[in-house]
Amino acid sequence: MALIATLLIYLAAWKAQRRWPHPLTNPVGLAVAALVLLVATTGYPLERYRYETLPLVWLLKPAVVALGWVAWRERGRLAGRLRPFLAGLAAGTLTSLIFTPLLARWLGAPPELQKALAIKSVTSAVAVDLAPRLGVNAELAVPLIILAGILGAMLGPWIMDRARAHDPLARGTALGTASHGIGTARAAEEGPLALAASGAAMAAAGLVTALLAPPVFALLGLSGG
Amino acid sequence: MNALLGFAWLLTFYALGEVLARLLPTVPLSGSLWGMVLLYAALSKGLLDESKVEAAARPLLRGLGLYFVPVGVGVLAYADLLRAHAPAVAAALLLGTLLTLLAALGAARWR
Repeated sequence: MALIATLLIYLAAWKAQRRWPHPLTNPVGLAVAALVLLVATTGYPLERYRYETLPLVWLLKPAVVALGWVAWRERGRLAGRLRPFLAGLAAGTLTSLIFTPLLARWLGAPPELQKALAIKSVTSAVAVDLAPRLGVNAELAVPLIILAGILGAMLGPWIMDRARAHDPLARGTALGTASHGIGTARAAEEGPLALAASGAAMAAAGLVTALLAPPVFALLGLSGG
Repeated sequence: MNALLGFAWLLTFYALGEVLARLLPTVPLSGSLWGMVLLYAALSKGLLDESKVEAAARPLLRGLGLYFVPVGVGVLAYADLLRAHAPAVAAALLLGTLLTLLAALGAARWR
C-alpha cells in the first residue's frame, strides 16, 4: 500500500511540475507534503510506511554511483575552467557546513537541528547515504534539503543578476553547490554550460561534504550523537 | 539488454565501493560515494563501455527524486522539534542557502 501510494503521488506531482514548471511545484516537495498529510490524517503507522518503502530508498545506492557518470559526462564542457569550478565548489560547501549550523545555534536550535541544517546543500541522495556516518538524522535533513533547493532555485538567479554575475560556469557552479538537483533543474534553463557546471557541482559537493563534514563538525563541537 | 548490463555495472561498482569503504575506514566515504569515484575513474580510463552505463544511469537518475520521498515523509516524527524552532530553521535555511550560493559564485569568478 505505502509503496503504491508513494509511486502514484510522486507521478501526480511530477505531472503537476510539467504542467506548471516552477521550483515551488518541485515533485519531491509536493509528494512529501501530500504523503505527510495522508499519513498524518489516516493514522497509517509511520514505522510500517518506512518498512514498506525501503526498496525505493535502496535505489539511492546505485543512483549515487550513477552520479559519477554525470560528472564524467560533463567534464568535457568544464575543461579549462576546472580551477574556478573547484574554487566555487569548495567555498560554497565550506560556507554551508560552517555558517548554517552556527547561525542555527545562535538562534537557539539544538545540535540535532544544527547538524541537519549543515548538510542542507548536498543532494538528498548523498545525504541519506552519509547521515548515519555523520551522526545526522536523515529524516530531519531531507525536508530541509528540499527547502534549500527550492529557495536557491527561486532566489538564486535573481540575486546573481543583482551581483552582475553573468558567467554561466559561475552561475551553474553556485546553483549546483547551494541547491543540488533542484538548482540544477533551474540551471538547465540557463543553457548547457550552466547545466554541466551545476550537475557536476551537485555530484562533487556530495564528495566534498563527505570529506569535510567530519573535521568541521569536530571543530564546531558537533561530533558524535 | 544494455540497460540491464549497465545496471549490473552500477551494482558492481557499488559493491566494490563497499569493499573499499571497509578496507579504508579512516576515509569518511560511504560505499556508494566510493562507487561514484571508482565509476568516474573507470570511465576516464576507458575501461567501461559508456553507452551501457548511460543506458542504466539515465533512467535510474530520472527517478532520483522518488527514492528519497519516503525518507522525507519520516519528518513527521520530528514535527514538534521543527515547530519549536521554526524561526531559527527558516532563517538558517534562507541565509545559509543564499550565502552558500554567493560564496560559490564569488569563488568561481576568481581565476
